[in-house]
Amino acid sequence: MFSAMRVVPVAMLLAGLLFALACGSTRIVDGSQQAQSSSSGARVLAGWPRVIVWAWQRPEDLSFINPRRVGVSYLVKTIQLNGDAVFVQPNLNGLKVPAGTWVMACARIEIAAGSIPDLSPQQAREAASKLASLADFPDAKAVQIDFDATASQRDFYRNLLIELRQRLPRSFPLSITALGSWCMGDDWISHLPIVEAVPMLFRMGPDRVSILLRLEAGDDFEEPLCRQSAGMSTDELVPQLPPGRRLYIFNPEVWTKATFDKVVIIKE
Amino acid sequence: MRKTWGLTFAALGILAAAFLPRLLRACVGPSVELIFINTIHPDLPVGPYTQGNLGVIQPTYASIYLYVAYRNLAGPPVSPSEGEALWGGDERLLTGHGSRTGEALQQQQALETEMHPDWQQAWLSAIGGSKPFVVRFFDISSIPPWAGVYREIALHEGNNELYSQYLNCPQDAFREADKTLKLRTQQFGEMSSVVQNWKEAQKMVFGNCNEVGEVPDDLPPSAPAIARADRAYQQAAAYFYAGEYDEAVSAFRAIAEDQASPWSTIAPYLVARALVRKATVIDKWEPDFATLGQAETQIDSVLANPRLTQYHHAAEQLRGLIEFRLHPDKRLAELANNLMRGSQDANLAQDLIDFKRLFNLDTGSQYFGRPPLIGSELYTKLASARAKSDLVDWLLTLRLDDPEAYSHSLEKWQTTHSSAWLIAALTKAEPSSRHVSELLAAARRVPTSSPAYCSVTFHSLRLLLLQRKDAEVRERLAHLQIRRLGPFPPDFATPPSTANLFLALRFALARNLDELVENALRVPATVTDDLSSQQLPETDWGVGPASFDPVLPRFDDDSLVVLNRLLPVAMLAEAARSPKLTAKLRREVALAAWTRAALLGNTSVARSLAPEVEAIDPELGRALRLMILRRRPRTSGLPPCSPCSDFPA
Repeated sequence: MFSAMRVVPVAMLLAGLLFALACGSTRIVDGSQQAQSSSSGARVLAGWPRVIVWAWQRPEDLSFINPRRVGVSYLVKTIQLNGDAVFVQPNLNGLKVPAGTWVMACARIEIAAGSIPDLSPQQAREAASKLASLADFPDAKAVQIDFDATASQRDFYRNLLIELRQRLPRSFPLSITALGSWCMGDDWISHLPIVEAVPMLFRMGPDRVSILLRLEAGDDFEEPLCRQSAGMSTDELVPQLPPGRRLYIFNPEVWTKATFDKVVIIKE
Repeated sequence: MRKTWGLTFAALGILAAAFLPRLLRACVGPSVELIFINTIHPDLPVGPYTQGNLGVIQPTYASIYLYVAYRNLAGPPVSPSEGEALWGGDERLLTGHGSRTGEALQQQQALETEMHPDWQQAWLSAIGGSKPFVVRFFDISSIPPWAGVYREIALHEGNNELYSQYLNCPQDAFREADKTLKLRTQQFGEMSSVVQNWKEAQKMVFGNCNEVGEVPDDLPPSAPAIARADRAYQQAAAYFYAGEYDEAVSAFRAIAEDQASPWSTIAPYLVARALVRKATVIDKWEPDFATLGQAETQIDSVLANPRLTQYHHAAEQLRGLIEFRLHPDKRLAELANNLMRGSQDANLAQDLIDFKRLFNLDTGSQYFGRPPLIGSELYTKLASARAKSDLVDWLLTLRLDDPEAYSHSLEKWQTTHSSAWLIAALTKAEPSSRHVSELLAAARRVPTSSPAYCSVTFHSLRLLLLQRKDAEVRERLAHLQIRRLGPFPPDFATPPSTANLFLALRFALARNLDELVENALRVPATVTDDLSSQQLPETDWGVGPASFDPVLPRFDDDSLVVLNRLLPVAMLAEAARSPKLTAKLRREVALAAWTRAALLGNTSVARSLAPEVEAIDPELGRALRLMILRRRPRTSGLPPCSPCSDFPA
């Protein structure tokens, strides 16, 4: 999720178009194409804040936010896959928010540095059982999982989300972050038991150019689950987004009121 | 129709010729990233690196890898048992084969799984329960390596809500309780009132692990003295887990003064623990340094007391935690010096964890996937830690993005003549840096068997190349004691990243097309579609194009820039026929060359490539033949193209 930012010269923006044409890897969606959507998922999401900030691995004092307008997705724990083991690192950094703030309990899944994980169904079950307690986090209204699953990790991730969904209370929404490429030209997430997939429009690596070009051209994400929201970082601009998206915002530095006011303007 | 074809060719030509790098690199499949030089970690598996095959060391490696490099350079080398601590017993990380060693895995699982029978089952069966005795088990962390129960805090503070979590009841608490229960059962019998009362009280104690519970009442004076002493200890522990630290400190101090209590020797240490908790948990954004100072005084008194020797190891570890918060720079140096003792460091694994965390905290690496370079302000701020530890000094100097990095490295090398500082100085040197010639002469004397050889040789040649001493560089590259420059099998002797660095030097010195093509080809060190920062290899290419082979040689960025922007189109066409290229790359180069030739109106080159183009795309090839046969004048059909003037005809 948080790999290094790349500088994107203009030439590369055009190169992205070449990539798309030459490799024929994507379908361009025009505005008239109606994608499938889950009506129940839409109802669930209707009451969510339009702006949600991520509170990550540092103490965050967000007492300055307007709890009626802004929610918080708080990294509660990190799951590390190491061989066939599943280790949990709770986030030991505190979070301060105004009373009544809408809070989402988030967890990140990582591969332990240098490890090659088993990714077995058993490991998926174990990871899901360790994630299910996210629903117990005080005042949490939803659960979000952040995992930059590679191609070979998709089956594992799918199994994990299915197992997790079974363990969460039925009414508890499950959200995931998504690589941009999952939302364009790839349908592997379409049947996951989630209410939303947040396309992460920062630290995108090789996909950045093609995705931003398409958004700039007025295209939308093909995957309906990706059309509810978008994730961005305070240090990486997104030139254009389809209107009405819920925004998730990451700050690589500690959140301050000054930073927040600079990047977020909420029209009442 | 002719104008349409011309426009089509022009459009293809502009895009392909201008953006050939992306075409050649990107068309391996979605989200594939080719890494020719690993920058975060050495080439995997890491076994050869650990044993001294360091290749060319990158300053951007994560701190643990730089530590391993320093150990190999400055000694003592990393022993096999230390490798277990470093890499967690993961044979696959070390060798690329096998799995985590059984013993290492069992040990870690014993520490970290909440279902391990050693303590939880023993505890449950001892108290006759079938379900966890706390309301809810929370989570168990692998760092630190204690299983335990975490507590969530949700506080209402004015108009705000405060959330945090901390490890409240570590596994050693349950282990100690289990030991006590066994002992009292032996002394008094399982059904005795002493043991039954003890069990009920201990349930209350651990009932505070997840949330604030109860504190056991005093026992009546008629109860056996040892039972009353146990109860006092349980009360203090309950206060501790409940978060009532002032009461816990008072209670433990009272126990410490009761010489008749079997808990009097551990109590002083627990006073310090309660003070640390008070200073660091609940609603603290920053530690309460005054209370931490009290904890430091207390733990020092424990360490100075010969009567408390059995707790000195635990006290040392707690002191480490205190120093981590109170005097981080001093602690960083202490940890670094501990790590240099190698296998003689009894706390090697924990010291390594603490060192990495503290180093990353100090250098701001904890918020980003990649270790950032540091500026002079931070470098100066950490001067005290650098003065106390050569390892810390070396690590920070390598990471420093400032001219001082060179001057300090040079000074250290001149003083110590160590290979570690020679590498640092050469890495930071510019061709006109002072005393460069001395460094280059010293580098020539480094034997090929030295772990420093690749780094000093590469940087020497880099500097000589920048000094325009091409002939000397060419001569030395030809006789380089680095095996297998070029495509190699998986069982490599020279790390791929290192080989690619030297190939890039040879490429820069190519005198003809043959040499250019030969040295343009590199096998990626890592092929991944991992978009995190770890540059970990992807091993399953089942979803990619069937023709994608991760070990085939490809062009790195330097090669592509030359092929695309500097090579005349006629030479590019010739390169397309080079037997040194793989068939796949020949096809790609042929298409790019033809496209550029067509765009530039260079029909002779375009015509010469027609057979290759037709082999790639028969329909396009046939259309080209028709176009060529009609012998259209050069000025018709092709629109003006201003970018074309940027590219050699």
